Amino acid sequence: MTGWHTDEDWLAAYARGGLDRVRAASVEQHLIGCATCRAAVAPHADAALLARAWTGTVDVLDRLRTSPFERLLTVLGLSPSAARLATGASAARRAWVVGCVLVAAFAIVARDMDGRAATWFLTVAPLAPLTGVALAYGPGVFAMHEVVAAAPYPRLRLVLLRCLPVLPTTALLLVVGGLVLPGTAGAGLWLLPGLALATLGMVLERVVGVRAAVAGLAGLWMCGVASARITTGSVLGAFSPAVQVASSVIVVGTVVVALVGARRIRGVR
Amino acid sequence: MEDTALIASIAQGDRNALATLYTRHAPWLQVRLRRRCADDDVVAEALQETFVAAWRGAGRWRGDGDVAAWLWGIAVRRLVDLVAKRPRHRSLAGVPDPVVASAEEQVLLGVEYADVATALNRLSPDLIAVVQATVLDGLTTREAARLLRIPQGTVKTRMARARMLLREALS
Repeated sequence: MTGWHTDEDWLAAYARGGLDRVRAASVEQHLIGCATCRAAVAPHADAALLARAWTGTVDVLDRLRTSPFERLLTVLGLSPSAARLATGASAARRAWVVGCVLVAAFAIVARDMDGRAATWFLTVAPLAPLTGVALAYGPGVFAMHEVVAAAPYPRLRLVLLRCLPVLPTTALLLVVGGLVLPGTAGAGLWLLPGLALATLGMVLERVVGVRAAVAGLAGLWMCGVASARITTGSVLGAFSPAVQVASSVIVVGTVVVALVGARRIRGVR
Repeated sequence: MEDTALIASIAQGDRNALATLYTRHAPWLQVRLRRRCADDDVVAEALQETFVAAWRGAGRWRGDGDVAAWLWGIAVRRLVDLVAKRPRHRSLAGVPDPVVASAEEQVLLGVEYADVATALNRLSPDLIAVVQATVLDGLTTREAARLLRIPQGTVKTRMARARMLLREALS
């Protein structure tokens, strides 16, 4: 700091666009290093323009304020709007987490029980994501159901997006389940049938309604577990390789259909 | 609070610190940008992008140098990008402002200063624009070319000519 400051008349002329180049350049050079003169030039700035630019800045920053989960989805290739939808789906996650914790607690209690409790847990676990996703976003539960249903957006894709925040929670539950229950081959086994049921459930929901879809699939799954118990002597038969493969096919197939559908809609646009 | 402390707070995600930085620096940045571009919309956008960039880049601030210089460096480059993006937009940087030095302004010029000043002011507007963009605004040849909408080679030749004319005028 030299103690020298730009003349007020010069600053005013400079701000007006007057002042010859040389003096303008010297003013600019001085401004870079002098907070006092920077403050002195401020009254000459266009207040309306400054306010507009600040509003714009805040707008952009608000848009930037995304959760890590949303950013992760964008990194994985989802469009920002789709990522926002998937993140929005987790608005109902609080209830979902509570449910998961309850089931997990049930599993821990079940560890100390005999094989009967394990049977119950195996029966219920794959239904958790199905019921959770379907009920959390069905009419009468999800306040925005009507609005979302009327929105021109591929339903199946929306459902898959909604599964994105729900499934990690479920996976956590299933990992816990896999840890506490002896003899289960791993959490992946648990996730696949559940995921397949969830996807199927939402597909069926469009045809027969959410309650019928969930009830029907739940019934089918329990029949499957029961028949596995009868034919193979163990409920683990419901998690046999054949079931895993079938589940994978269902999930992959649905995802492909959803993506193709979304692309077709984009093509029409 | 010092500018550098403000940048540190901004890096922590402090919106109020950004607001303070804006009140402190946006006005003079706006005045300086406005001298290079007549379009208020472009200036507002450049200003906005500058502070968004400052918000994002505050974490990478190394703490050396002047915050004002750092902000200007961002702002002038944002302006270059915006001007280049608008094909029909004509920047003022290439257009001479009328240099009508009043009598008292002439007197205000110091004696030793006058030589350089008259020499510079006597340069053609095209040459002055190049000198301003490269020497005073610190832009690269490429950035200056984009701002002035002329080929890079032209920036170089004009700069060389300006240097030569100044040398002649001052010798």
